[in-house]
Amino acid sequence: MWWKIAQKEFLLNLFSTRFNISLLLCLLLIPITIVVSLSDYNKRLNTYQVDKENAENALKTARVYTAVKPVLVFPPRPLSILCQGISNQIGHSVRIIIDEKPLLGEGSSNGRDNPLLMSFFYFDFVHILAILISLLALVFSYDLFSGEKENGTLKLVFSNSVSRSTVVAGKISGVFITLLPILALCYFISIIIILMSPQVSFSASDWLGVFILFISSFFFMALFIGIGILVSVKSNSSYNGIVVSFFVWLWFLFLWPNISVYASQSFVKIQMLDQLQQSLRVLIDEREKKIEELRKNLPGLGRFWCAAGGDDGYLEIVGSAFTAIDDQRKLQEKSVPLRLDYAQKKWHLQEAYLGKLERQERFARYLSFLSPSELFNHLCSVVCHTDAVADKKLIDQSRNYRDLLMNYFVQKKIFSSFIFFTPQPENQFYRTWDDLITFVTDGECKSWNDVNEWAKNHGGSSNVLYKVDYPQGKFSYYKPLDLSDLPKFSQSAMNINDSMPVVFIETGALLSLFIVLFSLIFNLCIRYDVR
Amino acid sequence: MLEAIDLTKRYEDQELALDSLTIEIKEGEIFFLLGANGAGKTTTINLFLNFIEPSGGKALINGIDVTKEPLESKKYVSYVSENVMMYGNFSARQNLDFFAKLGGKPNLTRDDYYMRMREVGLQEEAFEKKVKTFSKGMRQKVGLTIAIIKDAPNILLDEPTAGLDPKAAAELMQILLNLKRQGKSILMCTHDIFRAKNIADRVGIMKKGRLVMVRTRDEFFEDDLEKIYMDYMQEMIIER
Repeated sequence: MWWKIAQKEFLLNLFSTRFNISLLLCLLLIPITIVVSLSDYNKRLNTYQVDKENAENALKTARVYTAVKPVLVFPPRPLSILCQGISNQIGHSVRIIIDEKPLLGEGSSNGRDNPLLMSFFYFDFVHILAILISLLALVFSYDLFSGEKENGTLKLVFSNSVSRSTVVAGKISGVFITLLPILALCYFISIIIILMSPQVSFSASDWLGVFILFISSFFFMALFIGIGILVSVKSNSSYNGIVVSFFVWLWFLFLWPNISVYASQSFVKIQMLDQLQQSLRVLIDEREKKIEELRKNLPGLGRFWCAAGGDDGYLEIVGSAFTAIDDQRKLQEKSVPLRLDYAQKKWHLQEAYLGKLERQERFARYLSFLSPSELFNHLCSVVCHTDAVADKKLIDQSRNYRDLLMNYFVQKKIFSSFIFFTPQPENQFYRTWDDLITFVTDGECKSWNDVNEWAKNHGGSSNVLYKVDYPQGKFSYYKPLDLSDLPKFSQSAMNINDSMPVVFIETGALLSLFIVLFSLIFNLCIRYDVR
Repeated sequence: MLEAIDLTKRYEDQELALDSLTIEIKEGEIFFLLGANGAGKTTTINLFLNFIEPSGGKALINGIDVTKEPLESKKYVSYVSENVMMYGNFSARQNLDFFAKLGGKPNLTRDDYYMRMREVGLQEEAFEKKVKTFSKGMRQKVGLTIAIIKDAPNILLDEPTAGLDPKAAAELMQILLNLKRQGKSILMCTHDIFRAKNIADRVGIMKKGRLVMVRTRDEFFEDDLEKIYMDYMQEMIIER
């Protein structure tokens, strides 16, 4: 008999305007959302490929180890098409340098070329689904009992030899069999559009993720059906029911998440980023002073034939006197450990800052879990590996890789070697500047004084230094480094198995809420006053 | 047969809605329960249908205690309420089909439904029309058809003529007379004293939850039912 009642509910819904509007909304919103997400994903994928190629080229062309600053570029996750999580808020690459441990991702991760477009409304599939399905669940359940009571049909139903539990089970099932095809249709449309895109390929783990998303969506929908039925049982009229349902919907989907963020910002205070940067600046100044002291004790540091450098520690020198180049080596030998030491000191400050950021995020997340929609959104971002924890894992891996790389450099004594900053072999250096000047001026000058004198007599020209071809004094003369034994960064593949503990806990939470809510509803419905 | 023995209902706010009602409605009898609003008429029906639990006494349908065996007792009773909207998005036939199955008649055909609807005077073109387009009279006829289709030996009607035009009300009474001839026990709660005079075998007048008077057809013609009823109503107004 419950099936007959469920069929009746289904047919009544099927013939209703709300069903047609719901279907229309799904058919409009879901394809548009997926097409936009897909386009964003493809752009992010292109950006990733370009950045990856640039990073590889930069390593391939490095002639000295100061230029070896691997850039780790993380590919966008295919499931981010369905749930972007924080993946479009946080950079997708990390640069490994001596002076700093990676703190957060760098670079742009959003799929929009024009940053001004970021001000426009954007919701991914999971957000749209959460909004749509919760709304539909409430729309189809807010008057499940109160509506029939108003129509008088509930008394008519209960005047028959049918138990209350049968009626309740039938009515609830009717809402489920109405909404389940809509939910399945949303997923079906999305998957078809994704499959039609040649740039996207889902692994077996991704498909399992999609399945888990579907199951979670079902529980999420069930919770809102439960809330709608609860409202229907407790409200005096369907008009009151729709008002209460709408408020509940706004509360869970829009108000509570904002309240959670506000509360976490109020209760878990963090220092401002500017303050952190100021503290880091103090350390940097301290470090630079110490390096300057080292520099003072190395009088040989001076001119170079050809040199290039940058704030990021890059230094490349060719064509110099041995005295100068050796002083430079000594400077690097002493300054790099100092820089590593200060990177560690900076990391202590950054780690504390990061810890507070994470604490604040956790507080907001746990608080937001009082809303089923936030629980659902987080669960989806975990399944799609686009949550804060997945991002943290990547940065942790990058940090470990930096440690590995620095250890490798230390073990290979790279920092105390010439190859650290010059591609020129040691035996090719002239002993003194006078020897080098004599060679390049073809004996016309014997020292820098002679060069200066020559320049004075020739209107400030320094052409005398280029009388003889000196290819060793050009970067292009030297081959790139052989980095075949350089430790490689291996990003541990994001697998659904990694997320399983959280998935189990949060799906379990949704399921528990579902069981508690439906037990309560069943109990209330059994005692429902049908008059 | 419908039977109430010392049937009492006191709500949680201690209001006494029904006070020791004892009546017996035999096969082929139409019993009209008259009374002002709040006299206890609808409470009586709610108790017979086990929508509420009695505070005392018992209601029996074909000898079955409705409190002890609610599902069993409901097999033997049909119900027609005031102003039933039905399922608006269903046609008249779909409404009948659903309630027939609910009432334990799963094997009825489309023709069976059509035949019953013809019997209550519904026009052919209305059979497959959505009920939300129906007038109140038409909806009430669908409600009555639902009761007829169940073919239960007892019928409870709660103000079925409220809001109906005289013609529709007269048709409804005719249908009740037909049902009475088939041996159904009919309990109808109403304010409509004129209909009561026309078709009731017995009339009971309720006041503040008490059945204050019962008259047979012969008695109420002798005693001038309208005058008695109006006197009771007058008393109610003065007491208020």
